[in-house]
Amino acid sequence: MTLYSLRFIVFGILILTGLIFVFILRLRYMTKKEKQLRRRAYCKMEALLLSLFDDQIPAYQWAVRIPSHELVYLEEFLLPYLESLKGESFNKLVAVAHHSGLIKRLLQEGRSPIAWRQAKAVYFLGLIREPQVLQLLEPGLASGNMFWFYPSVIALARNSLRNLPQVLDTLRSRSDWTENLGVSIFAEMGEDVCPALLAALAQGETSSKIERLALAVMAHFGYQGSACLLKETILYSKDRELRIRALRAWSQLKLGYFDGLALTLQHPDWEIRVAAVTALGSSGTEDQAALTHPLLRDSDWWVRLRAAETMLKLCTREELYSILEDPLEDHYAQDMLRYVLTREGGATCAIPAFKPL
Amino acid sequence: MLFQLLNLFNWVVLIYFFVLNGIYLLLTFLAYRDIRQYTHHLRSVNLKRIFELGFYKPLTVIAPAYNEAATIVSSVQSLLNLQYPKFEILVINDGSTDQTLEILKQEFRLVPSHRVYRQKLNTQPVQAVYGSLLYPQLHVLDKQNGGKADALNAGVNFSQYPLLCSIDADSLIETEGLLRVTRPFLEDQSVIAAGGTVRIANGCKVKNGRVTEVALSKNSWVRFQVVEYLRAFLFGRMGWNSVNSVLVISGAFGVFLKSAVLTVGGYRKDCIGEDMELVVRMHRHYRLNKLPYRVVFVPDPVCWTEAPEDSKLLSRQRKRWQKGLYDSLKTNKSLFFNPRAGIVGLLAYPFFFFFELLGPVIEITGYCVFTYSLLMGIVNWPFAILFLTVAVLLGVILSASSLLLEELSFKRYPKTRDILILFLYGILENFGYRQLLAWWRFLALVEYVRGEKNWGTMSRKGFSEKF
Repeated sequence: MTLYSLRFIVFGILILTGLIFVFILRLRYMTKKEKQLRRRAYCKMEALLLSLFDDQIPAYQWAVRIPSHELVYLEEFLLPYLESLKGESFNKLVAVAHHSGLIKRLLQEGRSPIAWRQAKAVYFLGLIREPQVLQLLEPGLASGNMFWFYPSVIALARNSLRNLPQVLDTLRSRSDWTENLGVSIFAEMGEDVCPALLAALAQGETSSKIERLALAVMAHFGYQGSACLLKETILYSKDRELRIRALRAWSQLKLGYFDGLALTLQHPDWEIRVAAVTALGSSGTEDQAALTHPLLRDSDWWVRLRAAETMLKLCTREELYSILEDPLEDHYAQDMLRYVLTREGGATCAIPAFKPL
Repeated sequence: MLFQLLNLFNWVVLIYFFVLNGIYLLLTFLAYRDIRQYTHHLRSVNLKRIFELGFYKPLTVIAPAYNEAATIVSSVQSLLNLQYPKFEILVINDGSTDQTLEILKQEFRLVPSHRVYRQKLNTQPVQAVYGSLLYPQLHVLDKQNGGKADALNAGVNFSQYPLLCSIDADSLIETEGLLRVTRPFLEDQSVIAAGGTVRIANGCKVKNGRVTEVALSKNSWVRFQVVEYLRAFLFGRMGWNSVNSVLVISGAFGVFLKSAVLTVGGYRKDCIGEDMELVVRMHRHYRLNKLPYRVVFVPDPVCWTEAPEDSKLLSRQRKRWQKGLYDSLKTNKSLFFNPRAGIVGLLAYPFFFFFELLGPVIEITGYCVFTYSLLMGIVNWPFAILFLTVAVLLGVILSASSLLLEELSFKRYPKTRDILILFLYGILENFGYRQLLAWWRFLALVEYVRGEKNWGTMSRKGFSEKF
């Protein structure tokens, strides 16, 4: 009985091994063939794209000229162009997507039970600002999978500035997003989002994270209209995180020196001092260099580092060397200054050696 | 009486053999299903575009180096070539007695750095911290020798980002490797560790710390190992991954959530296989405390490593791995058939114990019994020949399946000739190579039981010199 079973197993395995071997060779052949097909389709599409941009053929001709078995590559072909082009060329590509039936197919995929298919469809439809995409976003906006959440919230943001309250609600309802991600979402809405965000803040925002994000977005767009709000936050906000964010935004916007910065330099919180001295570095002039000098002797390493970097921007090399040579200067201050100078000038930079007292 | 005993042993071996291969075939099926899903999924995501938009978790790459003068420059260059929006590289010079530190200083223009070292995990004293003038993201820690686990703990202490990537200093990660291996951390907030695939670089062309052309080595030892690695990673780990029971994340390429590493107390210094031990301990901690977590294997981020090219080095490596396995299972024995530990305690741990750890004992005993039976003239020849044929063919089918998985997914070997050669080696390995591995692993167990827990040294030729 056992012998019979073993013989049977041997026979089965031999057949299976043979099948696997043939399958591997067939896969190789199919992959090669698919590559050729893809290359051919891409060549045709590239030629048609040029004709489309030169107005030699209208968008609806696209589907006629590309056979259906090659149209499966259209989505991946169009994606990089849609991500990088704007204006009329972008609109022409959107028209191609419509006329070739791609949008219809993606709208169906957006209802697929498989998450990655939905995410992929939502990303494409969001990119071309397809209004119907809004019906597909709910599961993505609630998903813990960032690869699904992200295209969904981007699609919502890109679709219209009118969706700002919904975007804010979505972000308010979860905590797993970073400031970078938030900025990239609002960046999709364009510069016009800044006054809208300012208005939203004026109405009283409950989430401190959203407030910080709004400041970051305005800094990202270089929105000068936020100066008053930033000043007010730097001087009076009780939320230290928000204050730090405001100082960073001030620094990014290069709004120039104001007396409030000098006050913040003496704040007991070291992170606020770090942010303040950094802001001074990007907005101050030589006149404010003297304000930085005491911070070079600060008890905190990061404050000393940023103070040294700021002095490097605001002072001349001679002034810095004189600090290094001053025998009465604080050892830690000189040490940090020497470190920053070495880093700035590389190993070949001639820096006066430290002379112990 | 003796005849009855032999008969009983034969039945035990037969059952053992079929259970083992049954599990392997099941793992192959699970791996096949998951790899198909994964490759489809992969096409849908434009990783670079998404990471460019600030959608990532910053990461610290920790590369412990002990007497790695031959490979250290190409390894660090490979790390500097990595595509990742925000990361730092920490090379930990673990008291090297060769020129490792001097070469690093010279090549990357290192200067003493002021960055603070915080001792969260106990390590040997750190003598100096260096920063590179050429690459701000590169830092070198010079510490007293304390072993690889100690060096990794020093890296954990010094790291400033939420994700940690441990790699061997003699390994080369593919340019997009980090982007791919960190993906699970963004898909699921409960992921605490993720590992990538390790492949053999011998025979490949390496330029500027990057594998530019994948090819097979002409060395037979290496070819056997290529088949073995494909099997281990593509169906072994991928299969266990589908039931959240990956017990091994290779020390050559793994990413961990820093907070999770600190929670379980970092790497254990008294363990030989610190990489596996950490992962098993993480399973134990999270399972027994009923905390949600996932340990994930990601098949496509590839790390290329140098494989031993002769039997002496190979035996040393395999003995070390076997001792590491013993260590990891021993220190986490509370998982053994523990229903509170779920599938890890009831299936994965016992599998590793009975089939990976005790496998060589059963195999070597089987060969001894067969030889004895042969001498006594009591061999049932038709049965023995058929059993041997089944054993060989099952080995072949598993190797063929891993080649199939490779073809279905990532196709790293472009030449059909290479695939055919690997297929051939998948057959040949059953005649001598497998038995040799079993013998080395058996010896390792004997040495471990006798208290010989030394690592042994591995000499490296270096990528730039060799390939």
